Amino acid sequence: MSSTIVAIATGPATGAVGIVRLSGPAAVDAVAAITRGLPSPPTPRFAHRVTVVAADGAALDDGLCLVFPAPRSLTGETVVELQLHGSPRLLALVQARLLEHPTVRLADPGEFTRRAWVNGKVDLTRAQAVAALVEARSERAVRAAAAALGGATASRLGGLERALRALHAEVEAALEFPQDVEDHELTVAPRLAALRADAEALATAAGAGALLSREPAVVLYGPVNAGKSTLFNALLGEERALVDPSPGTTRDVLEARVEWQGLGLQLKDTAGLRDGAQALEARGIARGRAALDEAALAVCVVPAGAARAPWEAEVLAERRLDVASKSDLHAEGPGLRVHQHDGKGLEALRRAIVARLAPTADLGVLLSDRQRASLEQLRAHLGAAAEAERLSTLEVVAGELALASAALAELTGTGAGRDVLDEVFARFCIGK
Amino acid sequence: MDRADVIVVGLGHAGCEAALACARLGLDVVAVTLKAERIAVMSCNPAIGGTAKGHLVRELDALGGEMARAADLAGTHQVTLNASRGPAVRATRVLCDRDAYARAMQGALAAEPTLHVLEGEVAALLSEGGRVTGVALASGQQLAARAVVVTTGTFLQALMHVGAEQSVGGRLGDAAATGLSASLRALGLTLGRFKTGTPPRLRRDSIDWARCTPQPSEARRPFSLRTDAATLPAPTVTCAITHTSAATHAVLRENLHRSPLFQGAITGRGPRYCPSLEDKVVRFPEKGRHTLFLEPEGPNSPLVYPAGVSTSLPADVQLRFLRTIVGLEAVEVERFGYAVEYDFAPPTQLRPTLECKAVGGLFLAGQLNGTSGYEEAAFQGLLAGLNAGLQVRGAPPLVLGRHEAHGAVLLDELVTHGVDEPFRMFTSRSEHRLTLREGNAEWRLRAHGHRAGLVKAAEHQRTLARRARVDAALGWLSAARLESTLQRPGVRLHDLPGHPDLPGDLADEVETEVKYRGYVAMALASRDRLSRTEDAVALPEDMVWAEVPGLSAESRETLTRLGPRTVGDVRRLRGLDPAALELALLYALRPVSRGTPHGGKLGKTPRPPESSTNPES
Repeated sequence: MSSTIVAIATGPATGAVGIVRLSGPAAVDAVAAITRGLPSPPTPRFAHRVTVVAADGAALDDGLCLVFPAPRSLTGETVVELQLHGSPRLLALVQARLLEHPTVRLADPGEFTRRAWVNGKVDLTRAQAVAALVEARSERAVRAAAAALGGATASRLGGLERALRALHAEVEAALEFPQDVEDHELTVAPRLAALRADAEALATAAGAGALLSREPAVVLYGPVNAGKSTLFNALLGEERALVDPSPGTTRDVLEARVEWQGLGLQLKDTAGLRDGAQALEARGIARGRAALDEAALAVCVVPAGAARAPWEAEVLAERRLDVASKSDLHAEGPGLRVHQHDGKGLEALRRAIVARLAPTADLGVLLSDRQRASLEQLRAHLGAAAEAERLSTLEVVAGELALASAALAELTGTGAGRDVLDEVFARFCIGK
Repeated sequence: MDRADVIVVGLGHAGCEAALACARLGLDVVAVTLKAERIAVMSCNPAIGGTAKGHLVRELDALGGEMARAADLAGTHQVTLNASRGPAVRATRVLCDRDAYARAMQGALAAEPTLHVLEGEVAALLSEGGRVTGVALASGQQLAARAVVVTTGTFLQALMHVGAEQSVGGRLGDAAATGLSASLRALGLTLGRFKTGTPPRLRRDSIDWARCTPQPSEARRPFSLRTDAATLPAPTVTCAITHTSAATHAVLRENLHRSPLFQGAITGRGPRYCPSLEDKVVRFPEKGRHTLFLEPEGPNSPLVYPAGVSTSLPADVQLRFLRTIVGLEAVEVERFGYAVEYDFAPPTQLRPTLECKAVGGLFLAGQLNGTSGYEEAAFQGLLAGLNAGLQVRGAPPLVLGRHEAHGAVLLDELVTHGVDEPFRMFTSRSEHRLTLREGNAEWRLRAHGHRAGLVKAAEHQRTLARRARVDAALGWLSAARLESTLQRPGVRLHDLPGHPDLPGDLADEVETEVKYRGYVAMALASRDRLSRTEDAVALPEDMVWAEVPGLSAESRETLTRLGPRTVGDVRRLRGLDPAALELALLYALRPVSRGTPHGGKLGKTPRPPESSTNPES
């Protein structure tokens, strides 16, 4: 990895300050070639005042230059930061000047972090957290990414890995050294149960984490004229949907992004459901049903006192939240009641929606789709191990634990790692 | 100069199998040994088999080897290990009459008309143009051969330690081989150094057996397919168990400074699974006692082998700690325990046939290759001898797949990964453990032995007939829709109404195949999934690992030496830390578009998918 990479580190919009960052062995040379005022050698981690010049020698900008020599830097390579004025055009010019250096090239997306990972500066979960933090759109997503960056995910996976290794080693020790480890010394069932509980908790946390990277859709649906669009506007706090007392006003699916209690989500308003709608309205209803199918949560809005059963039947209960609208119509009634005009019950509804989507305060663990698939494999093999523990033999338990370990190794992005036999020899007094 | 087709150097457990395999192919074999009376001596414990080792013996037997048969003839006591922990880890261990075992093996050698045993020391290997041509004996005599199998065990540059005393020798009472190491080096092989040890031998009549827990034998069952159960002699020996005490551990701790191991006088690396008692006491201080198995060396032998007290402490300390053990208060020691250091040849220098990469026709087998154990040695001996013989005959070699035999896993681990301690086989080394059982070795390997020429046609026919009976029973179960009934825990074949009448071992096979079908299918599916994603991604063929920046010299060396071909290969490598592994993969799989010379391509030279055929069917 002898090439040096460069990228504009700040966002594409105009700002007060813009940063161009380089990493690699030629970083200092490349900057020295296009600036005046950088001493040779530069003082590490010191803000040097420099002037960036164009090819014809004309000054382009004044700014600060910081040099972080390898290996004490973000990437583990020599890193140089140029802090200039935040003009996108200026920053592009400076970047182009730096690319004139023969060994400098444009960084690939995420390449600074990848180099940090390769050089042992961050582990895989922290490297992923950097990307998640950059992409975070809601407060919860920021907090979850920050926790992962702080090592929370790494320590959680590490704990699972240690427990699985220890159990696998115990079982293998018994199988390989039957005269040294006897059945009554084994503690497979309780340890397996604890492992399964941990994996289950991790899956729940990963589900919560998934909500942060792919913000869930919450769809308002129900009969025509239930006041869904009025509720939609009230929840948003702005007049997005046209509202009218005549039934079938909403035709298309309306969407808006909201952030409640730090959780970002897509709120959708749909056409009221009814039979015998005319062509355009019928197409709107079809779109509404499609949105409903993909919803993380469907909010069934029916006026207080009206029959709910036919509308509730549209969506299974575990994906559905029932709300009675126009709560002034009927004084009594079960469940959530809102009055979309005077705002009564709105905050309770927001809380109920967040509570259903993110039932625990656990921010969640950010895993990729591939990692979640490996987690499912892990859980399947732990489940099979538990079943074998009851119904079959220890060697089948051992086989499932080996497969579980392989799945966990995929999940953590490490190799098969230490041989289980190393673990056996380290933990058990065996052999004659 | 005298001529032979194949010369076998050394007649321990590897050498005997190698010499027999070549002779059974009809070749002229000269087997050179230091002392003919020491042929096939059991130099450590008097037992054949055990976990994974029993599997190797059964596999060896199915291929046409001799070890199982000798153990049947010499057996005095027998146990089934892991009896309740599953059919694939269930393992046979046969205690033998040490002298009877050697006699049985010597008898087998004598029965081969084309096998000649020569007493002498091989001082050098002769070669010409990168090919071995024969051997030179210390006497000055030279012998020519088309292939040479070297199985010198722990005898190369061997040094024995009892406490601070050192003496040259490969085994108590035997000399060391001194010339051959230099000869192997001259041929371009590198050698490493290992150590191993053996416990003291106790006088049987000095043990208070009444204070120990007796361990009677199970009923004898044949190890070998060639043994008729009806002819097996009854058990003749009862073993016993006793334990060390706090007093034992105190004696050991007080005298650690006199152990050559703790003193650093022994530099070779010893096996972790066979620690000395002083080592166990230091590493596991929380264990209040350690178990000893007292194993008589034969029905009439005055000696007892105490398994569990391997030591290299000085003789006076050995006697003191032994006498703190229950039942051994008045024990007399016939021979004290000792450690031996010896040269071994790192087996990554070998092809999968156990032929040296650097020298054509030169095969190495047994403890010389850095392994430990009679069974590991014997399996290598058979394969090395067989492949040497096949090469002489111009026939293709026999290389078994990892899914076919634990012995194949053993050989693959040796030549692919090498060894960093004396290598012992464990069933967990195999990713196919559930299908590599003692019970089905016959159907996994008999056909290979027959094709290679080691198994007689009549024996092969018998195996086929037995398999036909198993298949008929499986067919009956399927037709009667009784498979799911048999899969229930605790249900046996003979519990089913109208069940076919099968001998016990075949009924066991039917039950296991049916009960394990689901688990085996699931394990195969999981492995397929992994191999699809990882083994399908080939690394560039011209990969130069030395160029990977940031990789430690050690990791570069490992990768260069082992030459992984796919992402899966790299992941399975041992001795690479996770960061090095990721670094290696990232570099190897850099996209080509970046103007770099390498690029991993999906399916460029994909490893052929491992056969997903159930080896039982």
